[in-house]
Amino acid sequence: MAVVFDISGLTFTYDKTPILEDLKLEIEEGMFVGIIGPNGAGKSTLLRLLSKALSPQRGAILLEKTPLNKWSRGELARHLAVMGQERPQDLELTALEVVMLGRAPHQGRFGGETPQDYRVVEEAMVLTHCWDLALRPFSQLSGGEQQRVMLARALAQEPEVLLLDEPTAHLDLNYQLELLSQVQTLVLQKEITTIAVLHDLNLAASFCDKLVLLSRRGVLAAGLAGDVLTTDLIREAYGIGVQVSTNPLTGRPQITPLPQGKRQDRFRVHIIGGGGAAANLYYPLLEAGFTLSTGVLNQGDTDWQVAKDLGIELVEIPAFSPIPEEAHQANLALIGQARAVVLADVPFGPGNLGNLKAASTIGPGQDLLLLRGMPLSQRDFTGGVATQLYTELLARGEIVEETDLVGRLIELDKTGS
Amino acid sequence: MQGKDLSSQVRAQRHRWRLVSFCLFLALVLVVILALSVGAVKLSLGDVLGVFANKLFGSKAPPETARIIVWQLRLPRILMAAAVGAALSSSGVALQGLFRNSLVDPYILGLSSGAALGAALGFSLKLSGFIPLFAFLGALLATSIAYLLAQEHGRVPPMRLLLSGVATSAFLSALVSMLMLRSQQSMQTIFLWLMGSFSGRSWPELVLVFPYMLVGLLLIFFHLRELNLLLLGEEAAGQLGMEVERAKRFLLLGATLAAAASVAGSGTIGFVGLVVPHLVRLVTGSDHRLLFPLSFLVGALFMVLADTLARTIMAPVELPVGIITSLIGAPFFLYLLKRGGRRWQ
Repeated sequence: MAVVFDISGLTFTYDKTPILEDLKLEIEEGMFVGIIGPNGAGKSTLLRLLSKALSPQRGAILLEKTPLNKWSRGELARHLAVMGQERPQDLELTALEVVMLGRAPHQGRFGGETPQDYRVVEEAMVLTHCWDLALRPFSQLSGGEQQRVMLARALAQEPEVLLLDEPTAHLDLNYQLELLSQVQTLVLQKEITTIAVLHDLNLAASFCDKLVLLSRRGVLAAGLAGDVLTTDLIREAYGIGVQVSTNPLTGRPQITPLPQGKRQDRFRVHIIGGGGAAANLYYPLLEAGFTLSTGVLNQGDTDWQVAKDLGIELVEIPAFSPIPEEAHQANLALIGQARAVVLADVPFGPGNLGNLKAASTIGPGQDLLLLRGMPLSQRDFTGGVATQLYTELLARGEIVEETDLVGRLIELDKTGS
Repeated sequence: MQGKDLSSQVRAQRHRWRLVSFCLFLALVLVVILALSVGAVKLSLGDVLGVFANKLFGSKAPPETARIIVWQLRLPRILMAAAVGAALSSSGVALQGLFRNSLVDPYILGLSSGAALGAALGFSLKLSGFIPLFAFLGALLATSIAYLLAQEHGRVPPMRLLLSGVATSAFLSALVSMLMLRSQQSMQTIFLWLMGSFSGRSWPELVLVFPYMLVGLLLIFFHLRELNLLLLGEEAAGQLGMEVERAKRFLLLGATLAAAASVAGSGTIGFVGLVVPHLVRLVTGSDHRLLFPLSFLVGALFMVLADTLARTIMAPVELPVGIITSLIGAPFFLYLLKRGGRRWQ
């Protein structure tokens, strides 16, 4: 595939502070490329260098094999359009007039607007769904509408390359999605190569074909979303731990930040889950500082998926299989190490009855917390065996509301130590 | 859908503006003719037109007094007022666009205090005949100083330019005050000059300042498209193919030439360069292709009216025209602001 931008050795220093150092990057034709990275990584700077708004101290930027500084401003404006972060204020123009400014690179000094100009402007405004705003004053439009008009203005340049600097900044979620899907459509229908600086990693992952992860040292990774958005790379760029899972709808990576900073070290808690009953217990407990283990979980179970994604120590068995002795023992071992055991609101059948039995192995000095949930009679599929066991457990543990769980465990942690 | 509709709607709108411009021009001609007839000696319209008919078509000679009053006394003065009004307003349009700030006026870059300093120097050196030249050079010098001080890495960021203009202005004003204190005698002369007046302006002065105004106005006229692009910000304008710094230099030069020539011709008349562009923008919006010609016409019209009032309301005493422009302009401006006369409301 043809290369639109070929960047090598790019170095830009602002007031003696290096922003970009020896950056190398290729942008392929017809791609929607997202540039991501922490604040100060030079994302906007890179974009401004690509649009010739800034010039680099060293390095080469080739646009269509021609060095960028060989392009005249006029030629460049007919080839490449930019939607910057700056939104014009105090502008007494209609939306139509703003979009018409995008025709400037195609117009002579004095010639007025031609029918062709009107055609292009209309097409651009229809594509970005702002044609019905044409005669409204730009300054009276909402943020989302203004952003659509600015996108239309960029399109009116009839560019082959489109640069967007945080196009979704200050927009509500619905407008963010709308704008990015419009851009996606443009890339597909009009084959406009698009490079967008994006803040939201999940939006970038779901809309862009390729991602470029910048950090203070330059390009940390570039490629498909799955290759760029990994736990390790994100930790390196942003210095935070995240959970990377797969968005079940798009199949693209999905990122959830994990508890940050130095948390308190609390005791070990073992959670007996299954059937999705424990899925939303893990994260709050991790965040509160507890070390977790869980089991026995069937692969493919929601609890299993979440525990996996969060990197919790667990005992797993194949889907739909009953608990084999080996797994049961492993579970007992984990329970033995824990200071407290939490029994989630799990439905019990013959397959996972072992988990209930395991709970009863707790010894003195260990606390058992039973989450209040559906009455056991409604989740006992063992003909009464589970109810029997549960009644015994009730005598040795205490019942806790899900909302009180974290608080109760913290209390236990404090009194214990 | 509404495509055809819209472009014809826009075309109709443009047609309407052309009509408005034409009407303004007619009004200007009418006001000039009226202004020629009123004053210390009241002339009939017939006399006024007779003078023109005689000059242009060699028809029957009018009375000699009428000829002298119209042709030698009033016409050059009125034309000077029209030219200065147009030049100051156009200069204001260019600078307000350049700085993207509608509170900017042609004097913001130290132009008026530079001119005042030049004039004061001329007065204290007893070179009264060269006052316009001194004022003109002072104005150019002040703006150049402000511009050079604001330069940074080959660029002139608008905010820096504004600030260095304000500083230059303050410094030069202090010098003017010092000169005025040194000679009590010339103080009143300088003070009156600072308020601006068209009193006694004749053909030679007009011929002297007119070429500079023309060059300045043409420079602005050639960069109206750039002024429109600058509405989006300097960076965006560059990304739309505009050579920003070069266009800014030309616009600044044009605005300075036009305003400096005005000041040389009539002293520092305030308010017009600020208010007229602002006022016209309330009606036309920010499209400089409309804003410029309409401000030009409205500025000329306004100044001729103001000068006519200045020389008639307290006749035979003449008021400095600067007093009139502010006295009428400010309340009218406030009224318009309150009413919010935007074209889309």
